[in-house]
Amino acid sequence: MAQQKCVSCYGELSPLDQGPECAACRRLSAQRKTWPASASGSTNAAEQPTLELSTGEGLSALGPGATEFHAGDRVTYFGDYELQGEIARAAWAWSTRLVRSA
Amino acid sequence: MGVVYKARQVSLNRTVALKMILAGTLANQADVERFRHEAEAAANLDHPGIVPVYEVGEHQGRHYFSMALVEGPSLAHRLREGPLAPRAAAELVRRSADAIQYAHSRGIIHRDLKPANILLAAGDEPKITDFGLAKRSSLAKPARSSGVGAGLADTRPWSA
Repeated sequence: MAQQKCVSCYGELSPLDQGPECAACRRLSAQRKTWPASASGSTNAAEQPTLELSTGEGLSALGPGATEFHAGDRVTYFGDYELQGEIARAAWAWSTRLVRSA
Repeated sequence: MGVVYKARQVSLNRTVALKMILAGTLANQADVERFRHEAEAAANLDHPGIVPVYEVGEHQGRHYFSMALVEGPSLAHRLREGPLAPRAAAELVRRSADAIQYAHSRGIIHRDLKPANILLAAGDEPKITDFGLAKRSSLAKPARSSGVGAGLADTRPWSA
Protein backbone atom coordinates (compact mmCIF):
# COMPACT_ATOMS: atom_id res chain seq x y z
CA MET A 1 0.00 0.00 0.00
CA ALA A 2 1.30 3.45 -0.88
CA GLN A 3 2.56 5.63 1.96
CA GLN A 4 0.01 8.25 2.92
CA LYS A 5 1.03 11.88 2.45
CA CYS A 6 0.20 14.91 4.54
CA VAL A 7 -2.20 17.10 2.55
CA SER A 8 -0.37 20.26 3.64
CA CYS A 9 3.33 19.53 3.32
CA TYR A 10 3.21 16.30 1.30
CA GLY A 11 5.52 14.70 3.84
CA GLU A 12 5.09 11.10 4.91
CA LEU A 13 2.30 10.53 7.41
CA SER A 14 3.24 8.58 10.48
CA PRO A 15 0.99 5.71 11.58
CA LEU A 16 0.45 7.79 14.70
CA ASP A 17 -0.90 10.76 12.73
CA GLN A 18 -4.63 11.11 12.88
CA GLY A 19 -6.40 12.78 9.99
CA PRO A 20 -4.99 14.04 6.69
CA GLU A 21 -2.30 16.30 8.20
CA CYS A 22 0.90 15.43 10.02
CA ALA A 23 1.30 16.57 13.61
CA ALA A 24 3.59 19.48 12.67
CA CYS A 25 1.14 20.87 10.13
CA ARG A 26 -1.80 20.46 12.50
CA ARG A 27 0.11 22.45 15.09
CA LEU A 28 1.05 25.15 12.57
CA SER A 29 -2.49 25.37 11.24
CA ALA A 30 -3.74 26.00 14.73
CA GLN A 31 -1.04 28.63 15.22
CA ARG A 32 -1.91 30.36 11.93
CA LYS A 33 -5.51 30.83 13.01
CA THR A 34 -4.29 33.36 15.55
CA TRP A 35 -2.43 35.47 12.99
CA PRO A 36 -4.81 38.25 12.03
CA ALA A 37 -4.71 40.06 15.34
CA SER A 38 -1.07 39.52 16.21
CA ALA A 39 0.39 40.12 12.75
CA SER A 40 -1.35 43.46 12.35
CA GLY A 41 -0.35 44.68 15.76
CA SER A 42 -3.96 44.90 16.84
CA THR A 43 -5.74 42.60 19.23
CA ASN A 44 -9.13 43.99 18.36
CA ALA A 45 -10.56 41.82 15.62
CA ALA A 46 -13.29 44.36 14.98
CA GLU A 47 -10.62 46.76 13.67
CA GLN A 48 -9.67 44.37 10.89
CA PRO A 49 -11.09 45.33 7.51
CA THR A 50 -12.80 42.66 5.48
CA LEU A 51 -11.43 41.25 2.26
CA GLU A 52 -13.40 41.98 -0.85
CA LEU A 53 -12.89 39.37 -3.54
CA SER A 54 -14.75 39.13 -6.76
CA THR A 55 -15.55 35.70 -8.08
CA GLY A 56 -14.31 34.02 -11.20
CA GLU A 57 -10.97 35.77 -11.53
CA GLY A 58 -9.68 32.98 -13.69
CA LEU A 59 -6.98 31.83 -11.35
CA SER A 60 -6.21 28.16 -11.31
CA ALA A 61 -4.37 25.20 -9.89
CA LEU A 62 -5.35 25.16 -6.27
CA GLY A 63 -3.13 22.60 -4.60
CA PRO A 64 -4.05 20.23 -1.80
CA GLY A 65 -4.01 21.93 1.55
CA ALA A 66 -4.26 25.39 0.08
CA THR A 67 -6.58 27.90 1.63
CA GLU A 68 -9.09 29.97 -0.26
CA PHE A 69 -10.08 33.38 0.98
CA HIS A 70 -13.60 34.52 0.28
CA ALA A 71 -15.52 37.75 0.26
CA GLY A 72 -16.17 38.73 3.84
CA ASP A 73 -13.09 36.99 5.21
CA ARG A 74 -10.92 39.06 7.50
CA VAL A 75 -7.73 40.40 6.01
CA THR A 76 -4.51 39.11 7.48
CA TYR A 77 -1.56 41.48 7.56
CA PHE A 78 2.07 40.48 7.67
CA GLY A 79 4.20 43.57 8.11
CA ASP A 80 3.79 45.69 4.99
CA TYR A 81 1.82 42.96 3.25
CA GLU A 82 -1.88 42.27 3.13
CA LEU A 83 -2.27 38.54 2.60
CA GLN A 84 -4.94 37.74 0.06
CA GLY A 85 -4.80 33.99 -0.20
CA GLU A 86 -2.49 31.03 0.01
CA ILE A 87 -1.28 29.95 -3.40
CA ALA A 88 1.19 27.17 -2.72
CA ARG A 89 2.56 25.06 0.03
CA ALA A 90 5.12 22.31 -0.27
CA ALA A 91 8.18 20.80 1.31
CA TRP A 92 10.96 22.79 -0.34
CA ALA A 93 9.40 22.35 -3.74
CA TRP A 94 7.83 25.75 -3.93
CA SER A 95 6.10 27.31 -6.84
CA THR A 96 3.69 30.15 -7.29
CA ARG A 97 0.57 28.32 -8.31
CA LEU A 98 -2.49 30.42 -8.06
CA VAL A 99 -5.60 30.18 -6.01
CA ARG A 100 -8.91 29.64 -7.68
CA SER A 101 -10.99 32.34 -6.08
CA ALA A 102 -14.41 31.42 -4.83
CA MET B 1 8.25 23.61 4.43
CA GLY B 2 7.28 26.82 2.71
CA VAL B 3 4.11 28.65 1.98
CA VAL B 4 3.40 31.26 -0.68
CA TYR B 5 0.68 33.86 -0.43
CA LYS B 6 -0.80 36.21 -2.91
CA ALA B 7 -0.38 39.54 -1.13
CA ARG B 8 -0.60 43.28 -1.62
CA GLN B 9 2.41 45.30 -0.55
CA VAL B 10 0.60 48.13 1.15
CA SER B 11 3.30 50.81 0.93
CA LEU B 12 3.73 50.39 -2.82
CA ASN B 13 0.19 49.18 -3.57
CA ARG B 14 1.39 46.31 -5.71
CA THR B 15 0.41 42.67 -5.79
CA VAL B 16 3.18 40.21 -5.09
CA ALA B 17 3.81 36.59 -4.21
CA LEU B 18 5.02 36.42 -0.63
CA LYS B 19 6.96 33.33 0.39
CA MET B 20 7.76 32.42 3.96
CA ILE B 21 8.87 29.43 5.97
CA LEU B 22 5.79 27.55 7.03
CA ALA B 23 7.36 26.64 10.35
CA GLY B 24 7.76 30.34 11.13
CA THR B 25 9.50 30.88 14.43
CA LEU B 26 9.83 27.10 14.80
CA ALA B 27 12.14 26.87 11.79
CA ASN B 28 15.61 25.59 12.53
CA GLN B 29 18.81 27.27 11.43
CA ALA B 30 19.21 25.00 8.43
CA ASP B 31 15.72 25.89 7.23
CA VAL B 32 16.43 29.59 7.59
CA GLU B 33 19.78 29.37 5.83
CA ARG B 34 18.26 27.47 2.98
CA PHE B 35 15.39 29.90 2.67
CA ARG B 36 17.67 32.90 2.58
CA HIS B 37 19.92 31.12 0.13
CA GLU B 38 17.00 30.79 -2.26
CA ALA B 39 16.09 34.44 -1.87
CA GLU B 40 19.65 35.59 -2.45
CA ALA B 41 20.14 33.36 -5.47
CA ALA B 42 17.01 34.67 -7.18
CA ALA B 43 17.56 38.27 -6.09
CA ASN B 44 20.84 38.36 -7.97
CA LEU B 45 19.16 37.51 -11.23
CA ASP B 46 17.57 40.10 -13.47
CA HIS B 47 16.10 38.46 -16.52
CA PRO B 48 12.62 38.55 -18.10
CA GLY B 49 12.52 34.75 -17.93
CA ILE B 50 13.13 34.57 -14.17
CA VAL B 51 10.60 35.57 -11.51
CA PRO B 52 12.17 38.65 -9.86
CA VAL B 53 12.61 38.93 -6.10
CA TYR B 54 11.54 42.29 -4.69
CA GLU B 55 12.36 42.19 -1.02
CA VAL B 56 13.92 39.87 1.53
CA GLY B 57 13.27 40.31 5.22
CA GLU B 58 12.11 39.06 8.57
CA HIS B 59 8.97 40.04 10.46
CA GLN B 60 8.12 38.85 13.95
CA GLY B 61 10.65 36.05 13.65
CA ARG B 62 9.35 34.86 10.29
CA HIS B 63 11.69 35.05 7.34
CA TYR B 64 10.09 36.01 4.05
CA PHE B 65 10.74 37.32 0.60
CA SER B 66 8.43 38.87 -1.92
CA MET B 67 8.55 38.35 -5.65
CA ALA B 68 6.53 39.11 -8.72
CA LEU B 69 3.20 37.34 -8.88
CA VAL B 70 2.86 35.42 -12.11
CA GLU B 71 -0.84 35.18 -12.85
CA GLY B 72 -0.74 32.04 -14.88
CA PRO B 73 -0.44 28.29 -14.52
CA SER B 74 2.76 26.33 -14.29
CA LEU B 75 3.93 24.39 -17.32
CA ALA B 76 3.14 21.20 -15.39
CA HIS B 77 -0.44 22.34 -15.02
CA ARG B 78 -0.66 23.31 -18.66
CA LEU B 79 0.70 19.94 -19.80
CA ARG B 80 -2.11 18.14 -18.00
CA GLU B 81 -4.36 19.53 -20.70
CA GLY B 82 -2.27 17.87 -23.39
CA PRO B 83 0.96 18.40 -25.31
CA LEU B 84 1.92 21.80 -26.65
CA ALA B 85 2.09 22.43 -30.36
CA PRO B 86 5.61 21.69 -31.62
CA ARG B 87 6.44 25.28 -32.50
CA ALA B 88 5.08 26.60 -29.17
CA ALA B 89 7.00 23.93 -27.28
CA ALA B 90 10.20 24.79 -29.10
CA GLU B 91 9.74 28.49 -28.39
CA LEU B 92 9.09 27.78 -24.72
CA VAL B 93 12.22 25.65 -24.46
CA ARG B 94 14.24 28.35 -26.21
CA ARG B 95 13.07 31.05 -23.80
CA SER B 96 13.56 28.84 -20.76
CA ALA B 97 17.03 27.86 -21.89
CA ASP B 98 17.85 31.53 -22.39
CA ALA B 99 16.85 32.26 -18.79
CA ILE B 100 18.80 29.31 -17.43
CA GLN B 101 21.83 30.28 -19.51
CA TYR B 102 21.64 33.74 -17.96
CA ALA B 103 21.51 32.21 -14.46
CA HIS B 104 24.51 30.06 -15.28
CA SER B 105 26.38 33.10 -16.55
CA ARG B 106 25.77 34.65 -13.12
CA GLY B 107 27.11 31.54 -11.40
CA ILE B 108 23.71 30.19 -10.28
CA ILE B 109 22.70 26.61 -11.00
CA HIS B 110 18.97 26.00 -10.48
CA ARG B 111 19.15 22.21 -9.93
CA ASP B 112 15.39 21.73 -9.75
CA LEU B 113 14.25 22.75 -13.20
CA LYS B 114 11.00 21.00 -14.06
CA PRO B 115 7.60 21.93 -15.50
CA ALA B 116 6.22 22.79 -12.05
CA ASN B 117 8.89 25.46 -11.67
CA ILE B 118 8.21 27.12 -15.02
CA LEU B 119 5.30 29.52 -14.72
CA LEU B 120 3.50 30.77 -17.78
CA ALA B 121 2.80 34.49 -17.80
CA ALA B 122 0.70 36.33 -20.35
CA GLY B 123 1.40 35.11 -23.85
CA ASP B 124 2.78 31.86 -22.42
CA GLU B 125 6.01 33.64 -21.55
CA PRO B 126 7.94 31.24 -19.30
CA LYS B 127 9.16 32.49 -15.94
CA ILE B 128 11.56 30.30 -13.97
CA THR B 129 10.94 30.18 -10.24
CA ASP B 130 11.87 28.21 -7.13
CA PHE B 131 15.58 28.57 -6.58
CA GLY B 132 15.33 26.67 -3.29
CA LEU B 133 17.86 24.10 -4.38
CA ALA B 134 20.07 26.44 -6.35
CA LYS B 135 23.73 26.82 -5.64
CA ARG B 136 26.49 29.03 -6.82
CA SER B 137 28.74 27.17 -9.18
CA SER B 138 31.73 28.11 -7.04
CA LEU B 139 30.24 26.51 -3.91
CA ALA B 140 31.15 22.95 -3.10
CA LYS B 141 28.60 22.38 -0.35
CA PRO B 142 25.32 20.95 -1.67
CA ALA B 143 22.16 22.86 -0.79
CA ARG B 144 20.17 19.78 0.15
CA SER B 145 22.30 18.74 3.08
CA SER B 146 19.59 19.23 5.71
CA GLY B 147 17.99 15.88 5.09
CA VAL B 148 14.65 17.48 4.29
CA GLY B 149 12.66 15.85 1.53
CA ALA B 150 13.74 17.99 -1.36
CA GLY B 151 10.95 17.47 -3.83
CA LEU B 152 13.22 15.97 -6.41
CA ALA B 153 11.00 13.07 -7.33
CA ASP B 154 10.45 14.27 -10.87
CA THR B 155 13.76 16.04 -11.36
CA ARG B 156 16.12 14.17 -13.62
CA PRO B 157 19.82 13.95 -12.74
CA TRP B 158 20.73 16.11 -15.72
CA SER B 159 18.34 18.87 -14.72
CA ALA B 160 19.81 22.34 -14.64
